[in-house]
Amino acid sequence: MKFKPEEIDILRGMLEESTELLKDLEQKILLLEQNQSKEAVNDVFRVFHSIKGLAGFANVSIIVEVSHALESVLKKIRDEGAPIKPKLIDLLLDGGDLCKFVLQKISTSLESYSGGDLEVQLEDLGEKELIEQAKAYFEREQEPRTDEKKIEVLPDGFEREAFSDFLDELDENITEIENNLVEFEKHEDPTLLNAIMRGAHSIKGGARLLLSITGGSKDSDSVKYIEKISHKIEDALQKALQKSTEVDLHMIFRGLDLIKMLDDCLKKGATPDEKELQSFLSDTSFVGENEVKTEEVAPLASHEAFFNVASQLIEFVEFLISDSSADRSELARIAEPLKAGLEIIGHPEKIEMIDRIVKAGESGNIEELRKLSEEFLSWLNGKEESIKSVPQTVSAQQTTERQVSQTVRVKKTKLDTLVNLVGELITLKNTVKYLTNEIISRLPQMQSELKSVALKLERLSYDFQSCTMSLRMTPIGELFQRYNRTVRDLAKSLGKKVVLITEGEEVELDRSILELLSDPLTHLVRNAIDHGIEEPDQRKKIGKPEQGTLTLRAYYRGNFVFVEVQDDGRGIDAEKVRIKAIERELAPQEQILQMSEEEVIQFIFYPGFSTAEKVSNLSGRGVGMDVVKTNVESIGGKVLVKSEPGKGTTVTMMIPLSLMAVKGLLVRIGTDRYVIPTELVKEALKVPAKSLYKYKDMLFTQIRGEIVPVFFTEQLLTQSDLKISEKRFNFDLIPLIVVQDQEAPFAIIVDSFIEEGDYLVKSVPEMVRSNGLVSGATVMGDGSIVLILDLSKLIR
Amino acid sequence: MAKILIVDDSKMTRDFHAYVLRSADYEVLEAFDGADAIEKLYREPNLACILTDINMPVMDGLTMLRKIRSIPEFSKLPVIVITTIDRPEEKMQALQAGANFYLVKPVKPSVLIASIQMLLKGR
Repeated sequence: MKFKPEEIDILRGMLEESTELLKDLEQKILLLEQNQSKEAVNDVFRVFHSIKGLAGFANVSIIVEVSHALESVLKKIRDEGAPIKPKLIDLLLDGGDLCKFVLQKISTSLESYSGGDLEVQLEDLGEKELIEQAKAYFEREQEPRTDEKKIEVLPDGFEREAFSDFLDELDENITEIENNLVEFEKHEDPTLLNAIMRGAHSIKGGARLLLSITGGSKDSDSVKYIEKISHKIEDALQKALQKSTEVDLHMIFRGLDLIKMLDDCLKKGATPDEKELQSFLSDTSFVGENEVKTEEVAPLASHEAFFNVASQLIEFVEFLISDSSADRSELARIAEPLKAGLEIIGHPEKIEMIDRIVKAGESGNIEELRKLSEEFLSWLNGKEESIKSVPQTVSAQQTTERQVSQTVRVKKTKLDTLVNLVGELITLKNTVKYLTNEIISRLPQMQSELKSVALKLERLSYDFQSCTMSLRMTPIGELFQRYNRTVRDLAKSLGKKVVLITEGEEVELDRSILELLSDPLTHLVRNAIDHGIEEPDQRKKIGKPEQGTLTLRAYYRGNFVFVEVQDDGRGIDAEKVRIKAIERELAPQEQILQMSEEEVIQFIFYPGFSTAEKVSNLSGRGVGMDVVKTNVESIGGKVLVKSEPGKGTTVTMMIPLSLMAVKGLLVRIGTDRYVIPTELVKEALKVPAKSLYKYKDMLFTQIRGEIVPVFFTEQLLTQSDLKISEKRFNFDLIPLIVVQDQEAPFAIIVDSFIEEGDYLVKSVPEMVRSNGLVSGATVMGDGSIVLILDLSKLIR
Repeated sequence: MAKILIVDDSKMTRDFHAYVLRSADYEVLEAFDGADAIEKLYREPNLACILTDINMPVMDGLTMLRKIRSIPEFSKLPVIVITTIDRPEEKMQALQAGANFYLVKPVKPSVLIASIQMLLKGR
């Protein structure tokens, strides 16, 4: 494939739009396989149809041919109720893959594009076979005897079909444009111009597509004219919309009449009158310069009224939370106009949320109330922003701008730069904070002023940071979607029945984390289907539904996102794992024998646990499990497996929400300072030295009646034989940090608490990580470096 | 068109709000304090909504509001309270006393109309 320089932009646009379209194609095809409904057929049809259009526009003939072939099959199924055979699904999936592959090739070639003609190398992708198969989809089985004849006729039929498709669409577009033109004459609504432009654009695209399919057939002159005229109309309208100038309606009508004339010629097989066509095409007088009058949009008063009442609801809810004796019944009264307001501003879907707030308020469910009102507030803030950004008056040009998509694509490198900048900002903020503290001790009179500046900077950088980080956030659903296909293909190849359920698709994670999760998830999904879920007849025998269930689940817990892969298969036999672990000497035998079943099965994550022997006879899993562990731990996460023999297995990955900054407690241990991430800190307190007691080399204390093991951190960190009895604490009170581990809390001894803050995590080389007790380092305001402790490792 | 009762001791405020409401095709009644308003309330059973000030002689707006809410047939009558910006504590008091919501002086005419439309929608 070769592309001219002027086609590159079109190609880029096509690439972006097609990739977007193809993204959920697979899911749509799988849906079609499941419910075989007409809507599902139409959904898939539309995707291929749009892709065909885009590709035709950009001259990517291979995609045009493939999608056209598939589209024709789908059309026949949709319109004539032809049967859906299992073959169809594979055909569609293959077709989608082929298009994706071609797009990817183009995209890679574009990356290194530096002017001139762009050449894209494509080896044989089997598109011919695919197209043949698509064409043969009906023929062979419907009329097996006339096989030969049919195939002979096909190429021509293929073209004829494309031709009649084009004419059908042309008629539709002409009617639509005409209606819009008439409407526009009555009242000059700029959105109508947009619709007309879109219509002209569709005609142009259709004509180009047809030309790319038919090549140089006898009718192509008329089609070329249609392409040129519609292009001219589109151009004129675009200019008018961009510069807010008056539109020459006469010219558009004239152009449209010519297209209609050409349409007629095509239908009758006549030759068009070239003279008039040429004169129209060479006429350049139709773009006037008169300003289109600006239009007033509806007053923003309803929004203002709405926000006024909405903020009162929030305030009142806060008041209710702070004052439990307040009269809650008033909540419903305030909510009532608010619900009406939601309808007025066009958001009736939020009414249900208000109802829930009222219900939570009336039943005194403070937690729920707080959660809901925060949720509502954040929606409100977003809404308010978007209202403010809408200009008071709108011209034709602005109308086009507002129709542009709500999302913005940002190059990842730019995003990374932004993230780095924010990182520096935070370091600077800490410096200012430090300097403030320094200067306060020297120049008390400047104290309050400086303090407020430091505070402002702190708030600003925090907002800046969270906004930047949110840019990188991507819903995990995007990742989950990829497994629809994996699950289907794998289950099919193993003769198993598996349904994939996804939960928490809206949970957002940093893009880079999401990428890192892709491999582990693939391993886990494969293992679950391969080793976890049983064959259908076996499942039936043990009273399980034939169809196994695989669940991908994501949810937030504290500073972590939990990502789970759960199956309802045969589970892991802990005893077999135990034997294997002993064989492989993964830990001292004594220790392994004493472990609980839950502890034992964690061995499956050990490198080399299962590679040596076939895994399936373990009735478990294991392939690549160490990859899962390594990947997840590389981003500061944890993996846990839970399994019940006969019932299934759940692998849970705990992923930290943000890689960049942690909230932490700065403490002094011995002579050094350390940061302890607050995500695991349950509380910080001081206990009298005498409440600490020793049992079998372990220290314990009681916190509110609960016995908590205590670790002498300084001794652990320095690896010395320092004794707690040798330490002296102020007033004999020992500062403790209580850590909430997965099961039981434990406490660590520090020398003193210094302050709480946000710390930017920098990675540290392996050798500095002192047996894994340190997860990173951070630079303090005064430039010194402080290590960040990894508490979960501390106890092992 | 819907009937609205404006309660305010300042004639100028009453006149202004009345003008705004009338120009939006509302029918307007006026009362100069809380007591006067309650009296008018009984004489005008088809009132759509009340727009009241807080600081008034004889009977203030909040007292009036509590009284109105304690009368069963008026317990659901829509009421907007207009507060002044320099007395923020009045806001929660107004909501607790039974206002549907409050507006802070000075109220933009367009917002006043939009607020009333919102309050009366679906009634």
